[in-house]
Amino acid sequence: MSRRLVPVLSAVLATAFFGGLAFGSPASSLVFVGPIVALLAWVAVHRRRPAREEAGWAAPAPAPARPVLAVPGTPRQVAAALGRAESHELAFSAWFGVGLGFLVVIFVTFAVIYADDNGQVWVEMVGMSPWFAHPLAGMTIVAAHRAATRPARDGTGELFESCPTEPVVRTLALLRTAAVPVGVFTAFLVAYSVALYLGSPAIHGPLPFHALPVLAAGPVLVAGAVFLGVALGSWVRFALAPVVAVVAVGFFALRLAAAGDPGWNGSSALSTFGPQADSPVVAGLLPTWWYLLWVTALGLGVAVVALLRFRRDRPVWLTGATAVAVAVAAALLGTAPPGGGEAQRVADLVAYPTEHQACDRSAGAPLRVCTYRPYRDLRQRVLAAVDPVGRALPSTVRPMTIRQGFGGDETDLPSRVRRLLRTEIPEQGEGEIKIEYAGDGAALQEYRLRVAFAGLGLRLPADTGDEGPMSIAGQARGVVALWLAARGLDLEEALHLATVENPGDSDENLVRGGGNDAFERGLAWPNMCGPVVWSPQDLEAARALMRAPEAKVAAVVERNFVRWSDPTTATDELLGELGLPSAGASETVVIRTEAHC
Amino acid sequence: MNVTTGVSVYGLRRRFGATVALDGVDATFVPGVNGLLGPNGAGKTTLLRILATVLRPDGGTVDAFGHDPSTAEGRLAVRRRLGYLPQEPGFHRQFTAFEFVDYVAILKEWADRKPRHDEVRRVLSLVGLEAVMHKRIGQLSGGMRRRLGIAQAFIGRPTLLVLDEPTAGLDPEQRLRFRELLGTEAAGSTVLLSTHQTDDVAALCQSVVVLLEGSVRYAGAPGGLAAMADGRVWLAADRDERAQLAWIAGDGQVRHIGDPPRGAHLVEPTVEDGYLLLAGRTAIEQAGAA
Repeated sequence: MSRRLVPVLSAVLATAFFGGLAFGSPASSLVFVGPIVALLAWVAVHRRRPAREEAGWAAPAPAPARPVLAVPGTPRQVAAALGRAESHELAFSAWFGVGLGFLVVIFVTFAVIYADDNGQVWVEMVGMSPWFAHPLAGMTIVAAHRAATRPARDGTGELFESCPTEPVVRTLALLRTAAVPVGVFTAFLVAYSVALYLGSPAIHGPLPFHALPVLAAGPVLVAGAVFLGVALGSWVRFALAPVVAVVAVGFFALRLAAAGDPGWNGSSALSTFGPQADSPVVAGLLPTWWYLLWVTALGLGVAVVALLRFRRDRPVWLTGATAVAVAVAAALLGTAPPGGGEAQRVADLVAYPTEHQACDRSAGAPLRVCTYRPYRDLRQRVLAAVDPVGRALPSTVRPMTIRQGFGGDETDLPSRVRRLLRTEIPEQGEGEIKIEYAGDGAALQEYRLRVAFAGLGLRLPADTGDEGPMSIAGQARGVVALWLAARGLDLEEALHLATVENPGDSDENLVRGGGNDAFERGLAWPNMCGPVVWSPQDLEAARALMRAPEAKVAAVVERNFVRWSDPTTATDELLGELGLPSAGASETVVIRTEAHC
Repeated sequence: MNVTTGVSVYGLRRRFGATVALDGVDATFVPGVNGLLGPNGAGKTTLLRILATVLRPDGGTVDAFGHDPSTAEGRLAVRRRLGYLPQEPGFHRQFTAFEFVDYVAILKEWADRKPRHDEVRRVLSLVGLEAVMHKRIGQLSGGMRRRLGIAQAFIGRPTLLVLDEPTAGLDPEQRLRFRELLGTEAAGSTVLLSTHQTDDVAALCQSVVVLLEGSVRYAGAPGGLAAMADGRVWLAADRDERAQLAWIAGDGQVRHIGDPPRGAHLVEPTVEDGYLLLAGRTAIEQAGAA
């Protein structure tokens, strides 16, 4: 048994290693492959020593009592027994191992390395199930095809044909191996969910009933992959047939998933990647149940195609016809406009967010956070993050509201919802800071900065669009904003907020067309699409403020808050007021809109 | 013959394109070991494949234990009694020996795990492979793979054993073991054994069929085949050009089949002599090559 682990573990190892390379240095790959290397080492130590010599053929031992097969197994029993044998082969095949390697890469990447960066809502995380299933499904198609064509490839077909078991029973057995990837992927989903629950506290929001079909679609897809591989193997022995199928399915699935993007895409329900929505607000309109029925019917249909190779009786034809009917119905209903009641509800959510929201107020600051009612945990999380910033603002600052809203535009809505909108999609209101659904660390830092800038009277756009960020190089308000935004953080976190890591490293900052210029060295916003950019000297000045005694800085900031809010007040004036050395003349920041985001 | 205890074929015909592989073969195979002799291309493998139900004849009938394999029910009945070793059995190289035989056992409807595994271990021990049964087939030698093929044919002690050149690739000692195995394991079964080894036929077979160019040229006891050369096998010091067949035997004398050369003395014919007399020069050339 242990020796059979070698191919599959080697494949897992190779995939995980190269997957790890994609996310960083070779050293980072060790995070991926370390556990697997340990397992392989265990196998090497514990594996049975192979026989070194030709096994002799001594005189046969006295034959025991004649074996009796009293009752031949029924086709169902034989299919079950063969299914177990084939499942064993599938589980230990190198191709399947590559699929497992992809799961390792996904798990380590998103549930370990970037666990802290997961700040999406649960609906979006669950929506990744079909995406995560695809690499395993692709490799499973190849593995299942190789299993189905193994007798022809290895020349055992004639021997097997001479046995009483019909080819259709062998096909049924191969179809039963779907239990392996289903089990593996279900285990992955459970482990992944538990890891996210424990290690990614920023994931938030409800997990509504309509999200469950998307979660269930992952196991259905990997089962369908087995069916497709077996069907292909039954009809087409060509070794590259499964590769062609994987590429074709991937191509069309991606085309369907991306059709109309950005914007509402009704045809995405026909993609194996599942229905897509640009905002959780409209996620409830996604035809998730029809999508699940669609992929289930597709899988069933493909299984019938496999069986038709060897059996064309009434039950098989009926099953096939049922699968086709269900698939057609699911496709039609899945791409139909959403129901009127639900469409109206979403239209109201988009147009009148205040009517569907709850708010939490800060006890010590003129600040409140309002979110859609199911997002209580995000509301509390945001309030906890911005409350220290609000408390550091002078009492003269006008009250402000952080309000959750629909982040997209009309094209992100189904046409039926658009027609039901009785007003424009509300923009960021006066005295409001618009947020969407992100609750990860970077998003919270951004909310802190927005509150700080709003307190200073600089109203930032919710989205910079194509205009790019505005430069506040050399302005004291930018430095004060950073200091305010760092309230409640420890010094290390605070300094990090005012630091650009690896400027000019396009891979690191996702800023293209770069160069280590003032723009990149001043782009300290927590994400690449920030609305403002500082000069490097401003950032140095902000770090100096953060290292200075908090009470002293707070007093200076509060005493001359109007002055610091003035864009004409220079950074050096603030430093001088605090008795800190000058950071030097600010470099000129040339905004590169085409390189932004 | 009681048709329920053996296998008979009547007027069996099979063509592959323009090549006639079987041309109206009539034969009866009784319980015991039945040898099938013939040069390459004589139709032995085609006949065995038809008897193993993996090839359909163009014409003629097969009666196996009273079942007609041309029907689905008859085919199933035959397959349930059958142990088959193809001429070139393939193997799944990544399987272990145990896994492979186990897989075949399942295909033979041994669905229950415990008795099936017991049977797999039994047949592997019959061919001396129990020590390497968890080794991958790709790591086994050619001889061990041949024995593995023999092992799977014995699953469940089938009442019809179709073995196409089972001793090819086996060394003399292993051939001896194979004979012992047939003696113990195939008792009471109907065994069809295709071979180029006439001494195997002489040692094992109760009856022998000689196929030449798709037709039966002899069917009967091996002794009868040998007897066909009675009075026609001679030993002489030198080769006589008039001999039908002649070759230098191990003792340095020239063995002649046909008319007596000058100075020769008559010897007791063997099965091989009878077969070679039937098959002629082509057969001796192929036998030599084998």
